[in-house]
Amino acid sequence: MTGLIWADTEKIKKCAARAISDIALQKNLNNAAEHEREARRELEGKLPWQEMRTMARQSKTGAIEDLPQLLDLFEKRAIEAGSIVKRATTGEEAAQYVASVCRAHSAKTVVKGKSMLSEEIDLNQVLASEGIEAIETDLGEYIVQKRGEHPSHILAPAVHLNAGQVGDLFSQLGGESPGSSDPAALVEFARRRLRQSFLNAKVGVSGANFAVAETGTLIIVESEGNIRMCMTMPDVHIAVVGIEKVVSDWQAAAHLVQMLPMAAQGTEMATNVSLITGPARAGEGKEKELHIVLVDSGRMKVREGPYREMLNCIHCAACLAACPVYRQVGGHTYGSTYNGPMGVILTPLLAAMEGGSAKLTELCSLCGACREVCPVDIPLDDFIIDIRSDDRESSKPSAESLLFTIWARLWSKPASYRASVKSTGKALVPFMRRAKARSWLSRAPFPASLWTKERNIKAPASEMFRDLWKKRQDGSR
Amino acid sequence: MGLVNEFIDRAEENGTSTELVRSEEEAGRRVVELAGAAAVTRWDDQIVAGLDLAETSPEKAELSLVVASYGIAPSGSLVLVHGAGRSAGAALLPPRQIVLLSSVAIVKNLIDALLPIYSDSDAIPANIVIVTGPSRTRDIGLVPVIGVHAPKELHVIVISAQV
Amino acid sequence: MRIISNMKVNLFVTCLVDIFYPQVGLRLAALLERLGYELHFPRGQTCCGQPAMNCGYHGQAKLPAEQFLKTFAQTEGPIVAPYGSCVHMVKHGYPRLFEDSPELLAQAVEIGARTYDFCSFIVNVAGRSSVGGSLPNGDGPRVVYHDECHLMRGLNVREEPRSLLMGVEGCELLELEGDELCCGFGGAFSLKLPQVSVAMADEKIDRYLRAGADGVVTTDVGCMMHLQGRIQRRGLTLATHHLLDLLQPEVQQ
Repeated sequence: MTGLIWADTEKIKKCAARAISDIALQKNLNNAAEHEREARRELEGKLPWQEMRTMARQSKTGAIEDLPQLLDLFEKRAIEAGSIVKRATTGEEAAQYVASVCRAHSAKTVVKGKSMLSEEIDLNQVLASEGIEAIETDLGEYIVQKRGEHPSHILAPAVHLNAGQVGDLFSQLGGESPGSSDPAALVEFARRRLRQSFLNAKVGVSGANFAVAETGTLIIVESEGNIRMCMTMPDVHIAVVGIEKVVSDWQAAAHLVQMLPMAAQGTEMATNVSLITGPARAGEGKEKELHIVLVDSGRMKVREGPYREMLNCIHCAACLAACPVYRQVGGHTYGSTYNGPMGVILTPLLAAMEGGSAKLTELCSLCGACREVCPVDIPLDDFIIDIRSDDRESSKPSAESLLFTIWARLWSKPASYRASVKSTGKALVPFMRRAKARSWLSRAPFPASLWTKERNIKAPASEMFRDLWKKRQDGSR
Repeated sequence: MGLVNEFIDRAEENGTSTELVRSEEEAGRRVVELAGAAAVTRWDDQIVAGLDLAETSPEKAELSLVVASYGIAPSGSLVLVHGAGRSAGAALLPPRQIVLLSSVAIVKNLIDALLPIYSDSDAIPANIVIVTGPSRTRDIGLVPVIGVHAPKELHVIVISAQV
Repeated sequence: MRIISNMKVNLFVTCLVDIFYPQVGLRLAALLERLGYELHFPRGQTCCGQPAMNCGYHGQAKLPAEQFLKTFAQTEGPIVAPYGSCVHMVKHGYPRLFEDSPELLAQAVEIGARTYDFCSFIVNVAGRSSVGGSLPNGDGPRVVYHDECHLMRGLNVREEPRSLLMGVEGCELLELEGDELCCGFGGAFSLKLPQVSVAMADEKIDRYLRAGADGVVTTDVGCMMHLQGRIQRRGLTLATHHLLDLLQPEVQQ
């Protein structure tokens, strides 16, 4: 119920290795990152981006600080507008509530818009166990659902596939074939198949990007129109919303709803932005139901700790586009609903550091590109270091910890530091004799062997700088 | 006219086709021309109610005819306010859409469209959609495709008394 | 050699330069002397402690970090290092590491305020946008500059190294679009996820090859060892240099 699928260093390495050698994936990841980078650069050049980031950060920080009151206000206004509001402390509770609403309406299928939260709480699995089929209608989600996979990117779930693979998949989906692997033809195929699902479904499920406390309004952004379908075609709309999505007023909401597509794709406005305040009323056609499930699932706990700022994240995925590690390994390597830089932080936080979730932070070279692009200025690289630190402190002493202790003691005094360097140099002499290039080794003992598998490593210089300096100073007297 | 020109330029950039007319009558004539023999579904707004068009249900219609409450100039966006006689289905289901927009309803930023609507707490519409261009996706191999579930073709007729 | 009075600079050579690239340290010293500074090498320095902090061993990191503070607290004037990563640790990492120790925190802030990477020092403090220099004999002129992450993003230093590089005789600086990616060294990362680390290096190296570069210049010796080690293993002819190798080819003994 935390979005964590698995966290295991060996598995991470295996997935990473597979991803690196997957040429189609590499091409897609590169294209996606380049496209987003260029679009964002262009937009940021035209706009007072730093000011806008500061404003966005302030809006979110203020909202998280006032979260309990804002949640109460949101609930009050939403109910006044005719919504049914359910507060769910755990993901399990939220998923069960959704199932109960479906049962109450005898709904055997639901149509779903993309919601990372719904994946985090395993909603589809909970519904399936009640005999309810959840049809993913976001094109990328539809594709990965049919393949039985998890999405590999929080915004572009099928970024790891190419058109040919999608064409093959659609051909296997019983009945007609799309007839080609031209993306437009494939989209048309999916559109026709899903249209009937939209029109027949009794219940539609969506997430929300923001929830405006001032008026009890949900804001949902998209580019396909499938979420509008899910929210307006069935008689019942259930929105599952993380509590951290609540913002206080329309000034804040208007700013943030524009920051989202700007940071995500370099566009000024998303294709469709829906603003939902209560269910469709009698007189507008059929009277409908709107259920809003406000989900905590570990978020209040995060708010109480030093990582509160992580709740400022607006799920724009700009950090995924900027991350050089993500670019190499893709989303599946992270084994979690949330991946990339925001994922390696959010996952252990929501999981309260359990299940080895902090291991995800290994997928980071601390380059800081994520922090640089974050539209709400979250210190992501510092948080990654802090999570590593929290994990060390709560773990049993390991060999690595002992190694660092010894290292720290030796290297905190110049004499022992120098002595350890000299003795390491001596130990490497046999390796240096075999080296082809002067002072560069192609083989070295552990842990340097981890380096030399694919790179040469420089041997320590025959004389350290400090000794050369001393000679130089002594010589000039 | 500055905002109108900005709106038109941005709308064209996001894939919305646009035209400028001088009167509601002219708009009506243009709608009938553009619709041709296509089966239409429309909102109840007076400006389109009387037009001679082949009408059908939203599910069967090829073309939808709606009226925007606001246009947002810097992004070429349309604000569609649903309600009685302005169903979500009519605005969503048909693949082609014509939107009528009065030039005086074009505002300079998003908040100028939202504040008037959301300040009157007694009458907040249940569903508002801000539309910026036709529906689209890059989910298949990152290739951009226009036209998914929301309308594939979007045409705006801006009505200005001051052309 | 004329020594400008009151122009004393403390050398912070960093453990990687001390151990693996002492020539870089000697070039830094020679360059600063050429610019008229008197140099002091505080012998108490060892390592800034960054590897431990980055891996999450904050307790252990404090030991060498405190030694750093103790050493440099006894100095006055600017502290200059041959690259940005360790400077970033001092200026950004130490206030975090010592946030619960008011005295050490104050020391860290005071010392951090006068700690510089050599590019910022030369261009912004010494006021020299160019110091000349040359490419080694036999090196082709087309050079790419690899921004080390902590210098570029952490310290926001991008123009100063480029300015100095453009002053090197015969050097044609190629600016590659979208090349601000991390090279994959990342300290311990290079040993923890070696395959990813190498893939990241290859991403950069392949770009350099496609652009027809003759060489790559950088400031971080960790990046340099990683890129150079991979270039060698792949058997490529792409020269790798520290910026100081070009700015100060002569090391006065």
